[in-house]
Amino acid sequence: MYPIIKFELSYRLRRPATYAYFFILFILCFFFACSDGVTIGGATGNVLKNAPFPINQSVMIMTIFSTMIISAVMGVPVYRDFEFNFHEIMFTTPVKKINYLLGRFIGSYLVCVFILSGIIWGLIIGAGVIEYMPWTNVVKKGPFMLMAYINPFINFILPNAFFLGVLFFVSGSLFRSQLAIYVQGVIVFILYLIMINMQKDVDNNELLAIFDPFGYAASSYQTRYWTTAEKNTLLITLTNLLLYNRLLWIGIALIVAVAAYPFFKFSKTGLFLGKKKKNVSEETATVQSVIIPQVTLQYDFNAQIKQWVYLVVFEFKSVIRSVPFIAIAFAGILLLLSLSATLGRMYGTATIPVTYNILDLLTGNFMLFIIIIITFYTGELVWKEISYRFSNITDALPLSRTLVMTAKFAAMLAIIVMLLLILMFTGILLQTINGYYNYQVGVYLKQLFLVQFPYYVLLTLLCFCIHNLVNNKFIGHLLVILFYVGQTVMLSLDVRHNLIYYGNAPSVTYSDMNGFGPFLKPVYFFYLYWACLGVFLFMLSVLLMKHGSELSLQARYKRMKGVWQQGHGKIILPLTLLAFILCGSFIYYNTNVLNKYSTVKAAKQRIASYEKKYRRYLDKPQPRITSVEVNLDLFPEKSEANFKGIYVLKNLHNKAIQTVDVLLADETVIINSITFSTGAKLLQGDKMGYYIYALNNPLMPGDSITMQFDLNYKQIGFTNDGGRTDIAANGTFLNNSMMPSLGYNEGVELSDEDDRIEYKLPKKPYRMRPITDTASYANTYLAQDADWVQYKCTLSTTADQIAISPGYLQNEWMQNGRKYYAYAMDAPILNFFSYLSARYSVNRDVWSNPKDANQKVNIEIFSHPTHQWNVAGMKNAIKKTLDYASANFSNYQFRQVRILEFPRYRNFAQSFPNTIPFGEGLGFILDVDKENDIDMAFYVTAHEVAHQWWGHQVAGANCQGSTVMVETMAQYTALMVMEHEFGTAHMEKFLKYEMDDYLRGRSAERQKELPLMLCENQGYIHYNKGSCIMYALKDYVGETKLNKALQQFIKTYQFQNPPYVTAPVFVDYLKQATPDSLKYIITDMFENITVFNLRTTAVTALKTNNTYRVNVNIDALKAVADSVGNEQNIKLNDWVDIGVYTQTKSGNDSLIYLQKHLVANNTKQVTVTVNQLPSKAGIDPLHKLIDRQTSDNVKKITL
Amino acid sequence: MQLEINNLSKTYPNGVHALKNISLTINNGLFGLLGPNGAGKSSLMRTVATLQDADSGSIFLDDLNVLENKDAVRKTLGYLPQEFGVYPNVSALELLHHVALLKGVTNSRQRNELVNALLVQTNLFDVRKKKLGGFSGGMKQRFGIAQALIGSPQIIIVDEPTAGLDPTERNRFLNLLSEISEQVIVILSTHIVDDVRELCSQMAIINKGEVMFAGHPEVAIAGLRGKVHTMFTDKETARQIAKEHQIISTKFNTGKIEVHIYSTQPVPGFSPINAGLEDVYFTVINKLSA
Repeated sequence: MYPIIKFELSYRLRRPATYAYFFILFILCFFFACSDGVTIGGATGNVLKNAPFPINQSVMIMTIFSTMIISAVMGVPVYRDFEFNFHEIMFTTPVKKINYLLGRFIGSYLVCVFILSGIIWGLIIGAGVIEYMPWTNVVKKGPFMLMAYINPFINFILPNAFFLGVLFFVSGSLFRSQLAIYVQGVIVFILYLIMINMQKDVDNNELLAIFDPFGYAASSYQTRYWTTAEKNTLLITLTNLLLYNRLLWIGIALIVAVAAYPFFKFSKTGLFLGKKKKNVSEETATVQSVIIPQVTLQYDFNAQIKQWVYLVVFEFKSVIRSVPFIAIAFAGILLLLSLSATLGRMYGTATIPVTYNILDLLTGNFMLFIIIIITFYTGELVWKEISYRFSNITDALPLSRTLVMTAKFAAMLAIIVMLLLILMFTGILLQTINGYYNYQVGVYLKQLFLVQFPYYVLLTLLCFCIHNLVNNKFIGHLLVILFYVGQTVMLSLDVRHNLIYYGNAPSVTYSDMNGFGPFLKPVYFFYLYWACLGVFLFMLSVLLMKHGSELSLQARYKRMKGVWQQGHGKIILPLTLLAFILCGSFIYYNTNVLNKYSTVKAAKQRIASYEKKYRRYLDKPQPRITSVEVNLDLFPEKSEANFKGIYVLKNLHNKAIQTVDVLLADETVIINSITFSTGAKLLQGDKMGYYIYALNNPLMPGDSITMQFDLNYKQIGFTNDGGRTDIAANGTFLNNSMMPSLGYNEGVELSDEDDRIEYKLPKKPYRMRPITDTASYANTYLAQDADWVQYKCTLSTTADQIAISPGYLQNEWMQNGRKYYAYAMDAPILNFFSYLSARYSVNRDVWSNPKDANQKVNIEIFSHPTHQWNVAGMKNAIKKTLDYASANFSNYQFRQVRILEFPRYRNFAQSFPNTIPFGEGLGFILDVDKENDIDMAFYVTAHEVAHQWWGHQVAGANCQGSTVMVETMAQYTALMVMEHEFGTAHMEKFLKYEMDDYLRGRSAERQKELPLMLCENQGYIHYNKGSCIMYALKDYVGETKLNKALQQFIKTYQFQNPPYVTAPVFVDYLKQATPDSLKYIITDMFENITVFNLRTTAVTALKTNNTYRVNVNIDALKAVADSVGNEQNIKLNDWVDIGVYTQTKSGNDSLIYLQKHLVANNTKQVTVTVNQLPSKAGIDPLHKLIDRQTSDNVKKITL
Repeated sequence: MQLEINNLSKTYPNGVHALKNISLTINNGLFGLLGPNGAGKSSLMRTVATLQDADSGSIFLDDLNVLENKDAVRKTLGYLPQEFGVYPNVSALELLHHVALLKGVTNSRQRNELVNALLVQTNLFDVRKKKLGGFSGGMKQRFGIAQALIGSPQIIIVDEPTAGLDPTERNRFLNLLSEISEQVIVILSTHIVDDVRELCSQMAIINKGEVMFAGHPEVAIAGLRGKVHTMFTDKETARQIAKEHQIISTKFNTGKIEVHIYSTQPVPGFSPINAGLEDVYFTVINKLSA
């Protein structure tokens, strides 16, 4: 055996490919480790570049992508002996089968491990030199930890190479087909994607962790809640799920190897594929003299058409009949069907399979398969004659090369068309299975054949070109893959213009409301542009293609020079090149001259310059807006909006104001005029939208003036992204950020630490003003230039649309074929308005306050006519929220609640005064299973309606923690409304998601986590943690008591004037509602980041008479975490739930005991008595406290 | 029909000077191209078959400039390359149809007749529906022959066609060729002297890219009349003879070594024999007559 291992090793070590693979992995990892731009390992924020966590991630991801390399190395050893006919010598020597196979395997495995070690070396050396790299701004590097590299090497590289190695070695040895060897890697990769897709559901995580063959899920499971501090210091260890996972797959590999062993034969033919190669036995036929008939040879156009059509069919058939094609396509369809199970789920709620949803799902996932098929089979087709050495015959045929290549090209297109049709029928099938019959075939066809197909055509053209030019099929494949990689790398370098990305066009979002919107026209221009280049390259490559026996590029070039002027090339080549340039110029004119093209970096640069130039005006006294009147003319078809408005500005300071600073942040604005009632002169103004006006007469304290503006926004030509979607042909949604604001706006500043260093801005330790900065109390965090304003507006739009803005409809009329709507508010509101216009169907209802018969509120849901699925649920949610909030907090301040659908270009819902724009994809196409699912539409509606109190009655000061009074309280209200509507069980499910999102959110924190009371507009804190905390608080304090406190708070501060209320004040109200014995929870919940570690170690039960004494052995810890997650244990002396379950007849566990017990650090056992047979018991069974390990809270009882 | 090759030269990028000023005139009939491996036979054949270009020189098929009107030449060309492969998952029938169609036989009735006739002629009719992947070397070679005959070519180039054929097949094929060659040019490249002697009315011997001899085989043989002498001897003597005489060939014959030497004079111990084409071949290759 050793000679065979030695042979294999020395053979491999002489092969350049071995070093090429090693080098590829080395270089990639080197750059991952030493560059800022590429962060596959998750070294973001304060996670260090060479910390165990990012190293582990990088190794895992690279190992997964090395599947192809492992396949190339492990698949070939036995095949190679057959390819070079070495088997005839090999298998006649007295080498034992077992030695032969083991030797080959071990040798290849060692080589494989050597190649994969390039990952480790690259990471080590990359991190070692990071500070010397020219692009390094900030060195985020800790001390070198050897184990951080050794652990992933042992955990992932060794076992993955073994498992995959066995798999590929076995199939390579049995099938002995080159194609099988390089396709098997792809197939494994695809199957893996299918698996990964199931991870979306939280509940599947543990299962996935065990069965993920790469160990990725197991590792992610181990690290899912790790904080920055833990990512920097902890090693991923081979324990628990990861250990079981590794053992499982090594075991499977061994079983596969043993099972396959008997099938290996020392004979010429492989398994399966060999069967076909039955040798044809000859029968001696009698020789008879036959005259070879004369035929006429035809070369006219008709004949060429016949030949072309024949070739297209011939090549098409040859591809679709090949085993790898069937395997890849089949895997693809399998993936699609497996995806349908998780169709657009949010909090476990499925969406209605409307056509665009299905299309997103299918095309997004199937794209990879189509690209793989194009990549492989273009190579196969171009190289077909040469690979089979049939070219020696065909090249001497009087056949135009253009004809042959275009036929192959057309065959490839036919294959793509077939795949897209399969995709479409799969989609329709999925819709039908889900009971949805509005198929929108037109949308399918347009999206698949007008938007996606051209891209595949362009890709195919490029692949043909590359394979036509190169002299080696594998180099061709390599170049194509390099092309894909290159495009990705370019993206990470912030080059985004579609003019540079071969085959790219603006991405198209179809919306039921706005159809294909503004996208199709620019997409066609881009496709035309690339098509010109594609055809040029294709034709050029056909002229240069391999033909005859001289294949060197020089010889082919010489030949081309001799002939190119004779053919169509003479016309087509210059023509396509000219069209390419013209088309490109036209696009450039549209995207960069008519419109502004901006990279991410340029946009950040602009914000940085804005800050550098204007931050000095931060505290400059400005008048306040007290009244707003808007005349907005919308021209949806032209994507144009004219804002004319009047602000009343009042000087609330105690000295005169000389200059007014007007900010218009939107770069696309055209300012027709900005005038002041007393006259003003523009002192300065620039592209950053900051204009300073000197008033002719200073504005004296207490005095008011009016400011009039006339602004225009419109789409001229098209942009690199297509065009405006905020002003849409059907479904316009604008807000008052398009109107002037006053003074310097701090909110837009760059907040990411790395960005601030890169753009040379001073450090900004806070993302919101610190709570101690009392100057910040002068504003709400929603506006820096107004308190409560008077508001009215007149909207005009096309005759068939309804336009809506906050306020009550005063009047509507037709004028010059346009529809006008006048709205007015009868009470002051926050300076926060929305403008929507679409062809709506309106669903009306009325809510009467059960406690006050005089109070009636009109409910209106404006939705797309076909989107009626969730309207009733929304109406219900509105009523229930109005019920709950007006009974428990305060009166609803408006006479109306409106929900308005807007297209899915943006996916959120937002609460404006009495007006709630709501995303198409978020709440209008949900498929709610009332029994099991969380009704997302209900939840979001309740949350947004609650904002009419929390946000529109009380809005916190512009500093840390204020979102607690707005977002957390909206969450709390929604939770309570849902609990009353759907029951406690639903809430447990909902809170499970919230807890998971909070823990993951804190794990992904880039800067610092803050206690809830000081959170700086961090979603995972004020939404997700907020939900968990408020629900627990309600549990401790009691709903009535808690609501009483909230009621007092809101009554005190609603519609207040500055200084605005802050979170500590709010928390004081909560504290007062809390009994003294529990006051500590307020500190734990709001003032600290508190993390519990609650475990049930064992549960026993004893039956006495008719009762059971249940002993719950526990182990409880309580810790306080700092902003990066360093934990410090603190004394535990808390009231914690102890729960006992019994098993019902249906087999479910049902809670029979739930009481709070005082648990201290030294509490090791709690004993409770129940009178039903207990099944499970434990500490904090409903996960009310923040605990990262929830699976050990409850344990089965041993009687 | 006349094929006129003038001063054809070719050097490959790796420096091999494959063709050196080759000039040949080839008329209707079977033309044998003899030469050892690496002599430049295949290079010459491929150049005539339009698969590669020459550095200098010209080839004319009657008035047709072969090097500049490749497609026109291909229309009248039948070519059996020395080495070729087939698509393994296609049957002989299908692939013959494939080639025929691409060669311009677009009329399907005609193509059916032609393909069937060729299959019968090459004795492949019974296995016509079998996949080519299972064909033996000889069967594949016959398929190659069949495809070279498609479309009544005026010039047929067959490069080492009898390799891998059993004697029966070989005879059958050579007969077929000589029958066809009455009307057309057939260039047969081979290193088997017998093939040429039996069939060819014209021949050339090339070595190291140069034409060593061109003409009628009988003329060549006549040129050696009285200059070839033979002796049966043992190994030791043969070695001695090699030092003293110009050896044409040595080979085992019924346990002894048969030595042919070149000499214009009678040589003691040797008996003069009638020269064969093989003697011509070796004499030319080894430049003995010079």
